[in-house]
This record gives sequence, C-alpha cells and structure tokens, in this order.
Amino acid sequence: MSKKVLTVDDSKTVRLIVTKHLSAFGVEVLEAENGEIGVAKAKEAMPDLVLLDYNMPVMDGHQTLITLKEDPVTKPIPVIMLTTETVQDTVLKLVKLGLRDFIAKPFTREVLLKKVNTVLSIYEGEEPPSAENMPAAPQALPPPPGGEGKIVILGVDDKVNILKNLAEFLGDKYFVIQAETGAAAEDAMNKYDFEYLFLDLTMPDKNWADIYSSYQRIKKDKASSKKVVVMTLRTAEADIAKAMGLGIQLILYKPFTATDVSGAIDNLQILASSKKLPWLERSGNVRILHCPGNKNPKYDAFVSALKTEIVKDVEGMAEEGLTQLIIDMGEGFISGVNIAQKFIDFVNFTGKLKLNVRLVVESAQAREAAKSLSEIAHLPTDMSVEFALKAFADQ
Amino acid sequence: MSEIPEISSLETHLRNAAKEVLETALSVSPEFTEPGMPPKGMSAIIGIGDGISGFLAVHVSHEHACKIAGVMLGDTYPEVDDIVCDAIGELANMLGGSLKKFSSFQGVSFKISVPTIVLGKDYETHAAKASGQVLLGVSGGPLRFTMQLVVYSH
Repeated sequence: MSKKVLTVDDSKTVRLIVTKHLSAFGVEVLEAENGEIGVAKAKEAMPDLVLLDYNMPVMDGHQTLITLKEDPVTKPIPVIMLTTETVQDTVLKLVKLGLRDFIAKPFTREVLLKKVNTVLSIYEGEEPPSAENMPAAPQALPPPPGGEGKIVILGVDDKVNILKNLAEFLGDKYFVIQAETGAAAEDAMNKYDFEYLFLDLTMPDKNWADIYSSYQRIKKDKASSKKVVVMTLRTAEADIAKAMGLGIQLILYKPFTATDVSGAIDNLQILASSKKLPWLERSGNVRILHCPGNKNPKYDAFVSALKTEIVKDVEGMAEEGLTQLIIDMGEGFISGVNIAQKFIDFVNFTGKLKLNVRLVVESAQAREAAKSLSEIAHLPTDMSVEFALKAFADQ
Repeated sequence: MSEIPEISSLETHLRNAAKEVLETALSVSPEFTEPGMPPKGMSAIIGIGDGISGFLAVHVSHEHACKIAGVMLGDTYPEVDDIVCDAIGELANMLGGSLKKFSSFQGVSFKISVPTIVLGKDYETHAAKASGQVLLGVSGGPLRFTMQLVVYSH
C-alpha cells in the first residue's frame, strides 16, 4: 500500500513542489490550504505524515499542531513543520507540543526527501537518489519522435497477451511507447506529450491510480486533454469506480479484441470533438465549473459571464446528455449581494435543467458563504473536487 | 519593541536572504544591481510587524514572474495565472522568513504576514513616512526582480 502524506500549506507552489518530489517515490500526496481543512483531511484520510506550514490564514500551523495532538485519533500522526519560521524559541515550543521535526524554507529536494525518509522510509540508504537517477530509468525510453507523429503510451505488464498485440495494432498509425512497469509508464507520461494512454489497472510495481492522479496534479490542464483508456476485468468494480472518479473516459474490459481497441479510439475521438464548453472543465462524464475567488484576475470576467456564456455552457452540457456538474466555489467568490443573487439564480437554473450538482467549498470562507445562502444550502457539499468526483463515481 | 536597526544592516540581511533563497529554491546565484524604477506587473508584499514594522515587497514583470514560477516548479508558464501569482507570493514569503532569520541573529525580531499580491500595469507603491528603505535589483541567470524593504519609525 502506498504511503500517504498530507501537505498543509496556503502556498499552492509549496504543495506542488512537495507533490512533485514525493510522488516520484510512489507517495500519495494529499493537500490542504489551511490548518482547518488540514485537520479535517487528517481525520478523514489518516495520512502517514503531515507536512505543516506555520504562517497560514484561517488556522495557523501552531494551532493546527495543537488540534492534531489533542485529538486521540490524529495524535499518533507524525508532523514535520515546513516553514520559514526558524526562530529557536518558536521551534522548541512546537517540539514540546509534539512536533517530530522541521524543515526550513527555502528547502532543497534532498532535505525534504531525507526528512520524510526518516519517518516513512521511502528509499533505501542514507542519501536520496538524485532526480536524474530515479528507478524509472528515463534513458531506457526511446527519444521523442519528430514530425507530426501521434504518441501512444502503452502501460501494460502482460507482454505476451496484451502489450505485443496492442503495439502491433496501433504501430501502423501511431508512435508507440511500451512501458512494462508502472514506473516506466509514469516516466513516459511525464516525458512525452502523448495523445493516447492505454493503462493496465494491474501494474505490479505501482498503483495505477497513484500514477494517474499524480500526473493529473502535476500536468493539470494538459492532463484533461489526454485520451485515456484503462484496461481491467469487468469484475474489478472498485477499480472501475475509481477510474470513473478520476475522469477516465473509457474502460476496455479484458479480454478484448482488436475491434474493441479500434472502437475505443473512435469513441475517444468523438468525445474529444464533442461540443466545446470553454467555462467548464472536463473530467470524464462530469463537468466542473471553477468559480474564482474575488482576488483572482479572472474574477470579473467570470462574474460578467455567469448569466451569459456560462449559462450557455451549462445548457450545452445538458444537451450533450451530461448531468453531473461540480461547482467549485473559490475563497471570496461570494463577495457581495449582487454576486450572491447571481449565483443563486445560476444554481436554480441548473435545477431547472435537472442537473445533479455538487458544491465544493474548500476554504472556510467559501463554506461560510455557502451556509449563508439558504437557497443553495441543500446542495450536497464536498471539501474538494477530488471528493466530489469520488461521490459521483460512488453513486 | 526592538530598536530600529541601521538600514545598512537590514540591507546586508536582505542580501543574505536573497542569496539563500535564490540558491536553494531557484538554483541560481544572485547578483545585486541598482534597481532603477521597480518593474511593473506584479508585486508580492509581506507585512512586517511586532519587533519592527514595515513591509518587504518583490516587484517583478509578468515575463519574469512566469520565468521564476517555471524554475521553482519545473514547468512552463506562458502567462500569469494563479500558480504564477502564488509562486511569487511564496518567493516573497521565503525572502521574508530568511530576512527574519538573519535579523534574529543580530537580536532584531519581528513577525511577518502572509503575502498579498498586487497585479496590474498602472500602480505604484509608496512608503509614506518611512524611516528607511532598501531597494535592490536582483538578477540570477535569466531571472530579474526588485526587492523593496521599508521600515517605519514609531
């Protein structure tokens, strides 16, 4: 089972850096943007380690550490402070409260990995492997093709029955990269600007969901444009549900024929060319509307589009037969009566279209705003898009 | 309340802080230059209070903000977005934390706030009634920005 680390930091940059460095070792990284969310996620996910910032809005690192250590459920979880706060008196006070260690910002990859390794043993030996010397051995991969060749990555460990046949079938039209392990598939995904990914859900060395969700976190917008097929047995219900939750567009059930593969590619092309909905993010059959906070540069444009283009996009989504919508409300989005009314009108409109809507309120401010809007308070609410997607997949 | 330190000693601490942050987080050695007018585009501001009061600001053009975020995160950012803003905020936060550390060695203690980002083309930052100010241009490899440290008298 993969190790789980929760990074609690108001800086998305730090959370991304931590994710990038640790996920390369197969660590599942969960994120929280302040202490309050961090405590809730720690209780829910019970990570093997918490990396905690000190200076944060809503609930700072000091109070978060106290809360985690006072609760018998979260008390055993080791906490490392990752912070610019390095004044000795403060650090000693935190150690007395149960802090395991601290990492001073700015930090290097090596320092982060060494400190995490003392708790989680994610690599062997004293020194962490260098970024260039990770087990995935990127030099074993072929160089990127020139010209207009479309790249297909095949992440399949069954060399005889599946990998060889798929490679032969797809080799005429595509530049095929074969990866027989999860680590090799992950490396190829990060290295190449691929069009299709065929991923076996039973890779021996790495959990496929960790590989794919790590790729999604690092590549973000790029990841949503990739055409992904996963291969599994029809009986693997848990994996199938998880795949749907992660936004996988197509599942090929084993055993499958060349015709099935061809059909999967046709279906992916149809999906990709389906109606463009610029304000909505695609995640499988789910669409996500990110409502930016009032400090976001896109805020004004979003607010003025809420009653026009965004309404059209949502109508377009319903016309496509898609019914699952996630509304991700950024901190400070509801910043006045006018926007609150516009938002209520919009939510009521989604009701008229009979859409299945979940509200995501990651920040404390957004949660308070949602509570205060009694008309929408009955919407199912999640802490993060990830949970909302999972909730849809579980339905 | 600490005595307001000599501005020259704060400048030394700020140079040390920039060196530490750029070498560790961006893998470049900084050179310090006459700043001229701070670049317009984005400013990340950290409030300083408790022991001494004032602020530390990082002023950077959109182009260099994207470059800095790219180096910090190992990715490409063609235009300013939330991540780029956050990365510049984090750069200012690390500079503030490092300045605090170097200052504390000299017995000067203070607290820093979380960063605030100002974006736009037509704005200026003024240090009204400041008792001292340091303005330093910083370059490291392809990266350029300006640091502004302002201390108020009480």
